[in-house]
Amino acid sequence: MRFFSALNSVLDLQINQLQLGSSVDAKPARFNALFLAVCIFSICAIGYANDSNAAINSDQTVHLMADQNEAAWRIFNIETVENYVIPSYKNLANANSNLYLATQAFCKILKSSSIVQLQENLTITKKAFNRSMDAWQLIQNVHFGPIEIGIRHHSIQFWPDKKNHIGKQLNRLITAKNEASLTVDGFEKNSVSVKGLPAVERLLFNDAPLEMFKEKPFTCEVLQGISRYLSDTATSLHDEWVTTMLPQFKDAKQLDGYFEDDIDATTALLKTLVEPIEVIRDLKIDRPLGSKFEKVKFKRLESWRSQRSLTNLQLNLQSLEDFFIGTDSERKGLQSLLTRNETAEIQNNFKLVKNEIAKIKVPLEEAIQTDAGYRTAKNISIALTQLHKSLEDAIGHSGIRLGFNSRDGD
Amino acid sequence: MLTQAKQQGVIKKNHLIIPSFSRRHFLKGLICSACAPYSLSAPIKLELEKVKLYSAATDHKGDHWLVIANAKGETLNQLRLPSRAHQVFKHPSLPLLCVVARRPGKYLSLVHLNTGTLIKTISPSKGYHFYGHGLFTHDGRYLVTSENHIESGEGRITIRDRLSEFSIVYQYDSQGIGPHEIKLSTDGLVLVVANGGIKTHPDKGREKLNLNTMRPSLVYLELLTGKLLEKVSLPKQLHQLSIRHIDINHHDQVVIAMQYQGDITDQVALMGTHNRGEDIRLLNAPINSYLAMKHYCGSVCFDFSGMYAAATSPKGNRVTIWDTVKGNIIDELRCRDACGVAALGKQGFMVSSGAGKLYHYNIEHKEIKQLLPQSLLTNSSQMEPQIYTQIHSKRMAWDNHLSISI
Repeated sequence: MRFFSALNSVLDLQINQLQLGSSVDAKPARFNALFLAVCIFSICAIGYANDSNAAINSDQTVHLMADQNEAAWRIFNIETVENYVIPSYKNLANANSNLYLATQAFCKILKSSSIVQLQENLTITKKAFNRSMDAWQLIQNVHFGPIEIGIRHHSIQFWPDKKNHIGKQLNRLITAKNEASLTVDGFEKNSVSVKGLPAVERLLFNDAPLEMFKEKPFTCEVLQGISRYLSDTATSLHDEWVTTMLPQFKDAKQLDGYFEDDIDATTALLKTLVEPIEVIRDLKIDRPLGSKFEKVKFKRLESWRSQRSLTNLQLNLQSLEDFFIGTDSERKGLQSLLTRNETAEIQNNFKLVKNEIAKIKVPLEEAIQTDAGYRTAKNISIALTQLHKSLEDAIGHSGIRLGFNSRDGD
Repeated sequence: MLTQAKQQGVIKKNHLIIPSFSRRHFLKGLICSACAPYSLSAPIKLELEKVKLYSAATDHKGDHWLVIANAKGETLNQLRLPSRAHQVFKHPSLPLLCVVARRPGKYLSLVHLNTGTLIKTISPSKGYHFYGHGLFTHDGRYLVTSENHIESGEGRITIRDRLSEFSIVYQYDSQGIGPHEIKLSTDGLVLVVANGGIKTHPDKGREKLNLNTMRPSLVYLELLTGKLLEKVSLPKQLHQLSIRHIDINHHDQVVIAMQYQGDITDQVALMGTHNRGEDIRLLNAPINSYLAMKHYCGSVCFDFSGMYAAATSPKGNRVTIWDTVKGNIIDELRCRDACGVAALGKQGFMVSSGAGKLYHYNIEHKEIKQLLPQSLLTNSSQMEPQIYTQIHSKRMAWDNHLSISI
């Protein structure tokens, strides 16, 4: 066992070095590197039979079972983490750090500046918020790993907020005017509902934000406190993925590892591609639409205050499609392990969803209150169901079961 | 005792102190599966060779089965079932298995243990459905099931007599809504019922109808009369903790594995124990251990000693091990979609998963190992893809509960 583990890590190290090299070099070098990697796998096949069939399916009509094709899936895992997950968290960390800077700049001039100047700064801060929400929508689909610790997913975005926790808790925090609740340690103890982006949205996008900040200057302290937390959290998530998670994907079978094997690691990743599609459909579309047109509730949309619910959807779809196709130059996303027909069908389904989204020309908050917009939103929902099914079927054909008891228990 | 429960149960609403990720070590991982069977100790291997597993399962096409297998998961017999089933349990002396349909259950099948052939199918009486659980009395004469009286939504316990072709001889109130798992006391005279508290109606599928008013309970009933001997509930603020799955040890201590129906960010304990005459004691665990269980336990059982219990949390991919004497968690493992769990004689626990895998957990060494069928153990990569696919596709998703006999 130890021998194999050691062998694996040596192998991975070599592959990584090769791949690191290739990411800078031109394509032929990349090809050589892969060829070499395959050779190394073949040599080691005597000792570690499972890895000998590193192969991809794209030119095939029949699937190799994932168990039998572990090495190829491992490459997919590492590519996805290195080129999709980690850069997305990096993007979020940068955006949130800018948001923190923007809120600091805004609050600093709150007392001294003219209304015009404040308006300008508020606009800058709102833009910074939008960049943070953009970045979050691109990685919102990842629910496992570091983000599970301390329910940080909910801290970054407490939504849907069915009982108006955010409103109540935010009010409490502002009226208490307790400086200690905004220190790094003190902030951790606050309710999860006030820690994240929806709380920032409430402060920046309301009827009279400037009056509010002027009348209750502590509100600006709260705004900065939340932004600092968002910045720190995103930086930690990125660092934890680099230092703690990435090695788990490089050697999934290591003793005391996070995963059972490569396919277990693959399953965790693929769940972040497939399951969010149902969540997006159920929470971001079907719930606001209600059972019929008369029951539509636009305030159930994800970011109705900042009128960016449609943008969120577009970014979600873009992110999932990137995951599917692959963000590196080799396009080693999930599609590289599926058959041609499956890939074509899934890509077509992505297109259908995007086409429906593109039909909406005004903010979704307004669109769903019109007959035509409501119908289009319903069609987005239907297209998402179709996309979900095609992905789940293709993954199922590869012998990977995303969940059974975990999805429908008793 | 109430204050004790308050202290021990984490009862915080939307509130959390976050430990730094770097200070927290990763969960103990699973050991390399392919090597596992060879490093099992002789007594465990001996136990594993004798063992037979019974479980409901679903294949890749979505068909439902009762599977009788050996410890490696190799099917000995299987029987196609009309719909998804829940618990399977064995008669104490006869080669007879009983499999109960999942709620809202429409059938209960009696199956020959050695051949896997169907002996008899029983439907619930008109206006009732099964909840997926049942048991045979210690003397083997009566079959006891938890059921729903659909019109009133009240829980019922139904007792059928094997000696009169399983006709109903007693039926009484379960003293709560949604009775789920049931167990018998050591002397066989007292029935322990986990009333989950959640009202459902077959016309509304599996929709939960009373989440705001639910009040789960653990009740002790005189088996043959239904007389209420004791009823305990959790403190009111924990009324959304559904008491679902239980096991009982030879001291008649009950271990409880729960499912929380409240806010997704609430921090609540999910495990408890109960002794007659006392309040429910919630078990202690670090908050992140409870959070990782995702408000959901699927199954629970004691080990042979009755000191330790294993619980599964498929939504969180966790198996947790508990010291029920000290009242705290002693181990947690990541195990994808793990749900079925059963004591393996004196040798720890067996765990089954929705990914079609079986594991052995060794309490002494605190480690979990995957058990593989011979066909997948040898040279899987040298097989023709088609042949491999055939074998692989037979790997069924093990459903909620696992039963074993040695």
